Amino acid sequence: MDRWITIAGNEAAARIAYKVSEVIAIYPITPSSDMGELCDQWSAEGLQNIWGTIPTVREMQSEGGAAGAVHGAIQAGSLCTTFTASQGLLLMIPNMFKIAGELSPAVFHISARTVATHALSIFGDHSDVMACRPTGWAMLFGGSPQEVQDLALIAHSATLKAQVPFLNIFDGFRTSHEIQKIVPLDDAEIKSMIDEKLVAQHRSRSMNPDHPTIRGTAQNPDVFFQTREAVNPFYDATAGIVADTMDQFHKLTGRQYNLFDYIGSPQAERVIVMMGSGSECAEEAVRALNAAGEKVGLVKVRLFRPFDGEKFMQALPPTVQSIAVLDRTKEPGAVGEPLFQEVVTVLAVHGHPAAPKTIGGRYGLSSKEFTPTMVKAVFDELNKPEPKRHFTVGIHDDITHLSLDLPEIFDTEDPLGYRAVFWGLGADGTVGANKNTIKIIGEETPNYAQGYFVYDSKKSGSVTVSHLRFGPNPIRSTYLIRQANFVGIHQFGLIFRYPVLDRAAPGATVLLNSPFGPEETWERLPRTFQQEALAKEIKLYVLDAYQVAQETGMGVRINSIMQTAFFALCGILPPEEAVDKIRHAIEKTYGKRGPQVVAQNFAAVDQALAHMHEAKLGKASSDIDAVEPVSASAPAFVRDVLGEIIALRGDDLPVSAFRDVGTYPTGTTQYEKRSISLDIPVWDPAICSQCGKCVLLCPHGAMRAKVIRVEDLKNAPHSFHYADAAKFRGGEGLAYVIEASAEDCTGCGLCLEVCPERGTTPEHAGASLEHVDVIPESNKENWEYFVNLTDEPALPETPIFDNAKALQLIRPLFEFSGACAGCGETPYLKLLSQLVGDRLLIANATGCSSIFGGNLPTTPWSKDSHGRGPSWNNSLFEDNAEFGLGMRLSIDSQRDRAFSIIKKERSAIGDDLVDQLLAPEKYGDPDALKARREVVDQLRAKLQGQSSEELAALASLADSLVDRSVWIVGGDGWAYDIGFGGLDHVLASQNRVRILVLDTEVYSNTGGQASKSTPRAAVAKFATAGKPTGKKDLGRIAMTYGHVYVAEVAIGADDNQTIRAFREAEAHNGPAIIVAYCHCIAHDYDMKEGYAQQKRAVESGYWPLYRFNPARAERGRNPLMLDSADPTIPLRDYVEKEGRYRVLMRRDPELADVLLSEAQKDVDRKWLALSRLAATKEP
Amino acid sequence: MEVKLFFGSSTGNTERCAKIVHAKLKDLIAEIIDMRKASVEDFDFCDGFILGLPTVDEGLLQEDWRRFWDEVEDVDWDGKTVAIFGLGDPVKYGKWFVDGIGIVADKLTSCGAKVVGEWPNEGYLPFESSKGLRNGKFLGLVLDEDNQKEMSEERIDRWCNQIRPSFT
Repeated sequence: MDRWITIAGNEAAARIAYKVSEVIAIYPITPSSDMGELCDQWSAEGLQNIWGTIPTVREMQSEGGAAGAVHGAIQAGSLCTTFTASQGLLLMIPNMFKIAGELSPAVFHISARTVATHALSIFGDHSDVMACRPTGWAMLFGGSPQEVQDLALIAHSATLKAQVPFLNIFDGFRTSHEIQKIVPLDDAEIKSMIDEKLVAQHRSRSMNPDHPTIRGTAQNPDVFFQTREAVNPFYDATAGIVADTMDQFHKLTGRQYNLFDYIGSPQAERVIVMMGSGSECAEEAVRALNAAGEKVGLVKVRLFRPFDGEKFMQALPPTVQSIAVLDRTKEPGAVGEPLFQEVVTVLAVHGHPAAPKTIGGRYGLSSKEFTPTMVKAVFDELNKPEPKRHFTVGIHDDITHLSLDLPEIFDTEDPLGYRAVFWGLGADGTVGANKNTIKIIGEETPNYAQGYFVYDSKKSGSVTVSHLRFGPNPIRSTYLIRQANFVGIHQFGLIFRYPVLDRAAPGATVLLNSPFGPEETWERLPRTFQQEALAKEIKLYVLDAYQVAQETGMGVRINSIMQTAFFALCGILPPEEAVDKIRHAIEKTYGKRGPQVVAQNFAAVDQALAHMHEAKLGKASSDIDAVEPVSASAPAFVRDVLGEIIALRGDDLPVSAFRDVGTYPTGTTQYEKRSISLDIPVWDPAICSQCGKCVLLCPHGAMRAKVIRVEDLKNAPHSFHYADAAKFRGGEGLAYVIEASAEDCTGCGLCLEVCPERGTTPEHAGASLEHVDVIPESNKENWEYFVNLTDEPALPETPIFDNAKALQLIRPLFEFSGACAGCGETPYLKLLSQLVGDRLLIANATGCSSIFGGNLPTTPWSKDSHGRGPSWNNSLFEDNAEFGLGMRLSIDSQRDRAFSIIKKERSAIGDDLVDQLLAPEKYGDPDALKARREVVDQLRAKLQGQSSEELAALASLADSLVDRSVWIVGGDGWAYDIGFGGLDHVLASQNRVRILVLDTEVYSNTGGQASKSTPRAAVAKFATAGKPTGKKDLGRIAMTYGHVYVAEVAIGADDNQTIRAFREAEAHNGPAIIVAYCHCIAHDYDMKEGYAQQKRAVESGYWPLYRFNPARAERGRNPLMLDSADPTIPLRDYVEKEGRYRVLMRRDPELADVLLSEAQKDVDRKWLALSRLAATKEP
Repeated sequence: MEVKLFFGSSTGNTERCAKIVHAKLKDLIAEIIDMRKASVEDFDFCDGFILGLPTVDEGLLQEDWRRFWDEVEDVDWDGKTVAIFGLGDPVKYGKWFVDGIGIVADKLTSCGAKVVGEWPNEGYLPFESSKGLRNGKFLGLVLDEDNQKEMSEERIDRWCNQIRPSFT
């Protein structure tokens, strides 16, 4: 028992890889990032590999870079590994061809993930590894964390003998993130599988000046083919070597793997062939079917490449009549998917006496659920006289009708097992507590344990659902729990928005975190919940976890309280023993935070049970309704498709719901009223100075302002209020309104922070936060009314929109994103949408901005009242600058053609109109833009009914005559690292593209790995000891070109400078780049302080504000204008407020001092250089 | 001497004060120009300047002046006479009280202008610091329309008398 550990698939792979590697080069990508991070952490901790050395772990700038570094390290004689998935793996392909071509040992561990096609997906399937088939790498597939670990060692061992590199493959998320109880391997066991003689041979083949060789030559038609064929003996031997290695592993551990493992009836007639985690579920289903007398079986493919046809034939039972091959990938245009093709070919080549009918199907793309019911559906299909030759299972395909109908639910769960589902909110500790629970049960009882976690895609206020299974037997249920014995609901608000009882089995125990107590709670439940509770006869327990937390000084941390209650109710451990183990775990987890924190947690645990009570079920008579996922007034597509996805019913949508294949309407977040904050904004018109800062700086677009004629407010709702717009020049007698959408607010509190007007107390400002128990109807009414008022300001003169006060009156076309509360990136995007939104194309790099910008079901990019708004696309990560350049080239090409037709057809169109169309367009002038649109409309009218080919072409190109603006947007991960090559190339061009770098100084979206933008002394993943090198100065590099407009901005420090930089970039006749300071939760402090930190960053000289405008050089002036003042505070005053620096200052004060004084020198040097550059009068 | 008065105003306070200054020196001032509509050319062919500006946010120039500020060196300030009046709130923005006066005065001086209209630091509510102070005196007239609005007219009156000789 003491040998068991509970870990997820990623860690299982990493543990082996680390032990048998010397050089590890990495680049993060979901869901593989954990592997690299663990290796980095172990290396920093000084953990040794089996040779007593500490592996070198190096983060590269992209996966291509990681593969290149690994290739180099292998060639120089080291044992190497890396970890990746999806697009990252694809970027490694050219190196993989080389590494295999040079007959090198290596193992890459792959948490197989969907390759982006019509959309990006972080979830699991085999499309990435299948794209590697031609590389010549061997491919091993494991279906569970135990198998991942075991096959990892088998791969690292076999590759040395075979001289063929291996991919050790497991399903992204389903295995990579599934926690299971496994038997670990110790150093001695691992060492015994690595043949030192083979290691020495590897070294002897390396590049060595003492015995020099060359590789990577260029060859010609005379010899390339023969040389390529010389690898054949190695590949012929590989499968045999893998089989021998598996036997050696069996002798060592008692666990036997084979190239193909057959499960099921020895007389099976129907057989499924598959690989990966789906085969675990299939095994469970096959055993259940066998027990019911069905003659079915399963071949689990372990070694997919090289595919040993003979061994495969031997694995099939002699009685087989029909075979269904299941592939977890799609290859459109192919006769069949890869595994199917392999099997069919083998059967044709070797010939099977029964000539079994072989059909091929797709399942589980992008972690789509694959369940025993689906396995049964496949076997049922094989029973038919004419089974579908090609099919899909797990979806409803009502267009091409490939999907199998599913039979009744086929329940194969272990009757002795215990299943628990927990609903929580992101960051409330639910997931952490559950991982802890699995550890306790898995490692300290004889039970097997499994944990799997489902998240939605929002970065704030997101829902988490934890699926936990325990039991005396091994758990192969690689699918979500459908019949839970226990449902824990950790946030009361969730019951109004989500089907929390869906997965409860009849008679289940439900534990609800309720503020209302056992007598009152029932009345407070929505009717649908009551109905389901009664129908399923659940046992309901309530616990006011927040009260317990408050009373014991835990603040809002309820996780150990709910965890204790779970243990008491599930009975897996006697309560006292459970409490004891929980306390033990608390000490381990929180010990470093000090005895007070531990004591608080202990007190909370003790109090938990005292506050838990059973609640009697009443009648289903509540008049409280569940919340509709989208408002009833939403357009049909939003209601019928997006609404279903929001309500977690997306699985049931058929293929026909998605006929537009990946194209979606904009302006959809407005229908998704998430109500995640009970601290809502409140406006005090009496003290408001109408400065517009709260509107500009609200990250979510929940604060808006308008100036309206008083006459137009006659039908305003009762509680609607406004002020006289006297603080605007020309505004006397007009109404100034600020309205806040409480249902969309995230409660970040930045409106209050930035408001310059204070009332009687510091918490009372022009914009303040007010706590409510429930969002008042009046707020929704007022918002609805406000939104429908005209967006045109009623001021007598059109303001110049280069300052916050004027800008607040422009409706943003970016609203209510799923970004973190208080996000530093979104205000810049909102600003961009205000300045050019109705003519904007955005090329958005992968990163936070592509997730909150484009994560289905809704997008924050929206449309104005004319139906115009930004058109947005995310291509990849590394190609974003090029992607945007391509858009610009296309638009320019269309305009060129349009103008050329206009010139040619002067007589048909008319001199006056032609002259207007050919006149240069004025940028940044709303009146000029309006006039331009009118001229183009006149052209469209003129072209109506024209039949000539040229004029018809002109009509189709007319839109482009109002020039578009192309903005290339992304984070520092893209701009400084993986996309820098493309960015540089675009900067070197002369095209009118604008680049916005949302600089969070770290890879925010993948969990905080260091980038080349991370500053010296800051702690990040892969820089856990503080980044030893300084921040790359992207702005100054761009300036060296001379023709590029460059600006460094920080909207919280100087919004005026930011706005003007955006306008100047927009007007620049060439490439423009803006580097924008973005505070981020990765900086580890309360985001309420985000703008204050921006100010300190500027005041310390760390983040100088400047604009480099080449147009000034043309006028004989210095193009560089330094907009911020000389530094007035030391760097420390800025950095010591941030956890990413403080953690080092606490952990290693000496090193922190050294790095920080170097960092201060960085600041001084940069400031000196910039002020010198800016000081001269001439360019 | 050709004298013009330039002012920038977001809420109307500086505009109000500018009009009072204009009235007091009507015989001297050829034109009063709102910076919202001004361009560099408006500063040409002028020997004397009276500039009115509020300080906003944390020691920044008001937006219309900000807009102009990129081009400030395109004006020939050498040998010209400049007087500045600035608005600020010592209570809410005491750390940056009339910083704008200092920013403008220093810049124009470095461009060769002669800044007149020094004003004593007397009678204002307590404030923390000001870039507009030099050797204990303000580099231009200071008006507090937020807390001492009633004193503005009298202050303007005194200051105008003080600077009149420089512009005659």
